[in-house]
Amino acid sequence: MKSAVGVGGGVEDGRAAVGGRVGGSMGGGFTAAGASHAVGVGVAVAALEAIRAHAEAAYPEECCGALVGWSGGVGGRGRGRVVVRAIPTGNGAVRGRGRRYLIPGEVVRAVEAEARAGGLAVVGFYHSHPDGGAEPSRSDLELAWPWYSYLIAGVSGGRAGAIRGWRLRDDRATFEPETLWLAGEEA
Amino acid sequence: MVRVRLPTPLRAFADDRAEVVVEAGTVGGALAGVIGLYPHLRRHLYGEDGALRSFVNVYLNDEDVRYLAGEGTEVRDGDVVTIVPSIAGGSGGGREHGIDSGVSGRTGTRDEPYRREEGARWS
Repeated sequence: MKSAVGVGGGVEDGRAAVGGRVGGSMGGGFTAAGASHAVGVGVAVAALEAIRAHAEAAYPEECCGALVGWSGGVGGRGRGRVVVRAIPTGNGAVRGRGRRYLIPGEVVRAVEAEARAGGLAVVGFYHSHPDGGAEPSRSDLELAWPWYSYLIAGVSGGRAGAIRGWRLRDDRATFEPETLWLAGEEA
Repeated sequence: MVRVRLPTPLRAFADDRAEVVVEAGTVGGALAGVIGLYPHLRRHLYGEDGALRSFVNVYLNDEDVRYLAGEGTEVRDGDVVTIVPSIAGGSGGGREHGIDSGVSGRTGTRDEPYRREEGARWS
């Protein structure tokens, strides 16, 4: 396993996660699948790896895509929020794709339909920050929707780094970090 | 009566409803009706300037109202107004950070939704 997920919403390259807690650079404990999580987002390893691969392939442009899974009663299967799959979309920004991304409404509708067909739902989106960190920018904040989980992958020199999770606060003032945890095969 | 369909991220602000029925004569009136019932929706649909937020798409019976008369588009009994999110952002910051639009404005053509949308919203 190449990735681990950390308290505080981070995923760091090369950190083992299976079997329990591992210290991370972000100062948090890492958790593996099977733990009980009242908050945060479970992310399947395959989804994390797909995001990392997409971020590196799109470099030096920003990549983006949808996160499909379930959340509470939305998409079906239980409580909490779990991302089962990351579905890459094209970056619809006309110019400046190295510093911005766009998933048009028509594409959002299409991925929602695809998720529904599989008994799941779109629970968030991801994008990358080429040669930048995994923290949301001002435009990320200005243009964000509530409820969705936003995963941001930092990329440095073409190599994907940390992936962190964020959710817009209801008053739109800021993002709150979301704790990410690794979801196993049961996801 | 007009049915207004809410996207998943907004349902939490409307008692988890996917659809709200209101009486309205225009698309803008329908949105105002929904906000009247669920005031917390306002900040997610409209900016502080009172304009519909960037990347909030509104359809009337599957037709993007930007191709019609916008929020002034008339609605009739049985019409369906659907709110669809576009997702955008990026490391470049906001307008004040020097993002240019990439295009001069709306192209208004159905085959260029990305260009039209971005031109309309990022300029």
